[in-house]
Amino acid sequence: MLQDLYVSLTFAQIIVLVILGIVLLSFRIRIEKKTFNLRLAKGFLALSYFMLAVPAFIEYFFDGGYNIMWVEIFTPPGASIQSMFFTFTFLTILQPIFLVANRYYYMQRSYSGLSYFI
Amino acid sequence: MVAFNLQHYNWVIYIFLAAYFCQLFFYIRLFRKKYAISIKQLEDYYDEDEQGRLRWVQISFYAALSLGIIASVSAYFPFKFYVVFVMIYITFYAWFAIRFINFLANFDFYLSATTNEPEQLSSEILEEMDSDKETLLKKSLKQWVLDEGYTMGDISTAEVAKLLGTDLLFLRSYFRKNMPCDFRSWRNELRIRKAQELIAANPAVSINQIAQQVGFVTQSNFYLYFKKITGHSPADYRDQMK
Repeated sequence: MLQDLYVSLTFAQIIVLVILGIVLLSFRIRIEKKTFNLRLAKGFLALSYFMLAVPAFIEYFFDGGYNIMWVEIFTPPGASIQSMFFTFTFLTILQPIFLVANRYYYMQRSYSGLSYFI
Repeated sequence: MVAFNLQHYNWVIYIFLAAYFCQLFFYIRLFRKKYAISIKQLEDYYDEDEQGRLRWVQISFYAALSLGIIASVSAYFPFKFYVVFVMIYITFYAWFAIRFINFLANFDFYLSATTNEPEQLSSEILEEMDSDKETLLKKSLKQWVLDEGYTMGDISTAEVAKLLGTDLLFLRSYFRKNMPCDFRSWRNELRIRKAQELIAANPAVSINQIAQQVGFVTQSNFYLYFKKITGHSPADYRDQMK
């Protein structure tokens, strides 16, 4: 019974995380120099939501919804990357221009299609 | 062919975990430092206590940190605990996404304060204060009090200075030279006195409504200053008025 609950939970997790990731990505922030880090943080945060949905997706669709091995494999690197993305987001909330990308990258991306997504 | 056995790779996981905890330690230090700077910048810019506004960031950071630590050892939990943990972290992710979008909708409040260059009061400026300018500011301040300009919330001190026909540096210098307290304390006292009047006039009005009416954006600040200035909580004061 607990295993059935876990399988349902894994499925719910995929749906919730993907929806939240899409909602985050689709939220528009006006494009200007000061908001660059905020847009980047929003993109990273959305990515971290999608990233968390990936192991759940593999577990649900390729392994019958339950295999703790996937948790053991994905969790340590996943937690590390998630903490990096989340910390970047928190620091950007506190100091929107603290983490500034290097000038070259900044100039490149100002005119690239990437700005549309972040 | 030898089957993949995760037990043989436990040492890799242990190295990962050690590196992960070092990473978290570094992030905690960085976050604490930037949090303190951010609070100071917001308070300097708005001349208000802004801890309440950023509390959700602090709570979210430590919640995310706790979840990360628990997640890193979650594979060793009994299965039923792991199921509960999954429920908790999905709830956190949903809550945080909503909170972050709320923040994005109001980020100008933070952006203008944190990207503003701090202005320094120099001794030269203090010396340069001419009496005509002071007289004018005194008049403007009187009018500002009569017009109840202090009841405007979410307005930076620089904007108030502009409304008074001067600049931030001069306003601060004026308060330093001529008033017993700084601008923030003076404005808060005016707000609390106004709140007392409003409560006395209509004790049925809710305290939160009064707080908003007199310009406090954060309820906790209103309660804090009310108690500090009057010696009573707003509710006690209202009961006395009844």
